[in-house]
Amino acid sequence: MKLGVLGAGPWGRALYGLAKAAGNDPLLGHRNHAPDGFASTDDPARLGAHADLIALAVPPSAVRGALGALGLTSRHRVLLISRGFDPVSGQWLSQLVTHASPVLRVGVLAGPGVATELLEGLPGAGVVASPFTDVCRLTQQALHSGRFRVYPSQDLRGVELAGAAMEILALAVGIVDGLELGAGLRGIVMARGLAEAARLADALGADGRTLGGLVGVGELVAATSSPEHRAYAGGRALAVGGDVGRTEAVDTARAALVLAGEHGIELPLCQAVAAIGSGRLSPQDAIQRLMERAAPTDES
Amino acid sequence: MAQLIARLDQRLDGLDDVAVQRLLEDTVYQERQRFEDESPTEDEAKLLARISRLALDNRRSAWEEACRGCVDAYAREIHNRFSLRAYRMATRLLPGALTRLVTAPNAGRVISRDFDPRARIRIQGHVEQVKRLAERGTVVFTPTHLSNLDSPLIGYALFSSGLPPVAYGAGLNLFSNPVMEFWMSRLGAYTVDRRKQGQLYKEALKGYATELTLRGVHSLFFPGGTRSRSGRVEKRVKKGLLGTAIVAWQELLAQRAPRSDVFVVPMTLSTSLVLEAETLITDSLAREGKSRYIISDDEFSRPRDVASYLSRVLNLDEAVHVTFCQPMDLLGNPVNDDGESLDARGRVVDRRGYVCDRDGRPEADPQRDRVYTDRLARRIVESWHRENVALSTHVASFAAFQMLADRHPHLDVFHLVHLDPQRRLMERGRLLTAIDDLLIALSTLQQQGRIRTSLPTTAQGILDEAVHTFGSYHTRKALRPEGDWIAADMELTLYYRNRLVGYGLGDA
Repeated sequence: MKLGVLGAGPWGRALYGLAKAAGNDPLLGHRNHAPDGFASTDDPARLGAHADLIALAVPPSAVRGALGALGLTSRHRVLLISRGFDPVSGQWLSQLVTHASPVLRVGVLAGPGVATELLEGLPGAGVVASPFTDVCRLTQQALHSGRFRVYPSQDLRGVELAGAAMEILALAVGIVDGLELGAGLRGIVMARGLAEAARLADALGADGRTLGGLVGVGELVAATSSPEHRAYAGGRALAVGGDVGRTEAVDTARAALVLAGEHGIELPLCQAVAAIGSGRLSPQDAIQRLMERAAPTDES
Repeated sequence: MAQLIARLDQRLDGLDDVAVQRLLEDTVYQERQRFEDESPTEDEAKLLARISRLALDNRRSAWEEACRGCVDAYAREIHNRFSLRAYRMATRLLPGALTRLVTAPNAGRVISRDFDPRARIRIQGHVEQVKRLAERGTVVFTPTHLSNLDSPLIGYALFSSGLPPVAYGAGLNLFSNPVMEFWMSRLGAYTVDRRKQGQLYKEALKGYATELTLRGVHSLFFPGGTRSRSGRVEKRVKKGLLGTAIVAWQELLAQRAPRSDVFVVPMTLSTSLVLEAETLITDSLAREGKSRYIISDDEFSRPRDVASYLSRVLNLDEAVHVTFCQPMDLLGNPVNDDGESLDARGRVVDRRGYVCDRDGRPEADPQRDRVYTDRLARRIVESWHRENVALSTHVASFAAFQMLADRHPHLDVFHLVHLDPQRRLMERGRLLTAIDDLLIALSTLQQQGRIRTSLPTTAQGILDEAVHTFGSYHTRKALRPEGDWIAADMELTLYYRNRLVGYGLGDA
């Protein structure tokens, strides 16, 4: 099983370790300094030539560039670790792969795993989603072991959506926690956020049950319990007036709103996150506006 | 036949005992169901008795023998009179024959002697590219389907474009028309009996289509499965036969065959009038229409109607448009003139990598192939919509139907078609304004490459042409003038209007 991992950040190194634990010899692609103890290369084309399955452990904004540099061909399978949307085109990242490279066999790995915990050798699990069972099977061969369980799914859109939604929700919960608004509001934000994601899933033909699994609820619990989770930490920082710069979760919220608009769906919580992230509303005002919305007719 | 039996044996090898028994029982059950509605022939009754007896046996070998017996009998029926030799000779035999076919069975009487089909039937699109591809590899043509006359029409289009003839599956019911039976049997038609729903029949049919492609026989089938009842451009396609092409391609790659390329060419057929429109739309609207898959008593079964249709329609200018769409590989990627596949960025891509390992050997993966075929099916449907040609009968009908729908916003389609005659009248001036608005929207769509049009330049011209065209054939006229008013036959207006549904033109 020839696995290439592009990106030497926490996720790239964690995947490398999981592949080793599963009995494979992965190759890690890095940009600057070669990390110690890893079989690695700074030549993406060499990584592409080495591997049948390439895991892209880079931020969404770097996926397009990576696709160009890897010298991908029709025989490759690409596994996305980033989730959500391409910030340039607003496409789902899996769509970007098939539009910006010759690769058709693409999958997404997502779930409640926290990279730093996996690096410490703690147990974890994830879902690999692809319409191609071949991609799921190769990912299991590459990563599944006594340390890390890999569940296959064909609901690619559902997993991408759940992954994107949990980023947004982690940021929203981070704001609530940062403002110390209590466990009640925390629960409300989680539940209403999941309801918004379910509406979008329905419109996109994704399987709503995915949201109740590892990539949905599982990931939300993990993200909002980990002070190091980037989106959650970003939310906490925003709550206290910190400048977190451009965050992936806010980009994701904006892209999700465009998608929801195309399907005539309202996502008030997502809208609030986008407004806070762009500085148009303070966290306090955003929460107030959400609470003052017209009385709902039901909970859906 | 031996190849189909070998293919079946390969399939049976991959099944456990329970699955083999189920495969057989499914066919026994489906055939019994079929014979509740129709009497079996002597051979069919014998076959059913034999496989029923073997199905009760306890041995797997007996079940396999029964499966082989079924596939052998089905394959003989499918093969019919199709002959590879006759098919290869057809290029030389065709001149004149197909022209006579599309110019009606009684050409001297119903069509004027100076009739020139090239002036009536417009053939457009990627014709030259398809010719080159047909020399490099095997081509599978996948047209939209409106009428039983589509097959001869495509035969004519292929012939007059200098393209080779094709093998195609024709419904067994079509062979009831003696004129069609004569031509179809000799020009590459193999039979498809859609009443046979058993899995073993489908296996035989798919195996047959695979073998044709393996032998380099160009073929044609209608992925929509049947004529579009509603008149809409099909949005969904059946993938059974479509999926056989990727199987054949991989077998050719494994054999390292010199002509291993297989290409798909979607086609659109756009006609001002459709022979069977009245029956089809009635069937589409009827509650029982959904289960009435085969219509054997429509206009097509009445030779006089066919002759009347041909004489009227083929005397109209550019009444028929046949478009060869962008050719594709079996993954839905476009191909260039040299037959190379292009990825989404327009770069050449080695398509073999999608199915082969690093050493160029095909890796069997039916699930992967199904996903590829789904993608191909989506690309075909997109192509059909892009290359659909809007004609005056469609545009006038769309504007008229929408006008009446807007006037009765509380009525759904099923109630609209039953509007009483007084409420189906439209002021000519208002209808012209609606057509004008539609023309603007269509022009934008055309500029975006989302549809083709072949229309008079003014709303008045479109309405006049549509009224004239409708007046020339159907017993009921979709649109007909009544002084300053235009009256609509709601069912037919709906049928012709439906050709423009799905483009965001304001239809429900």
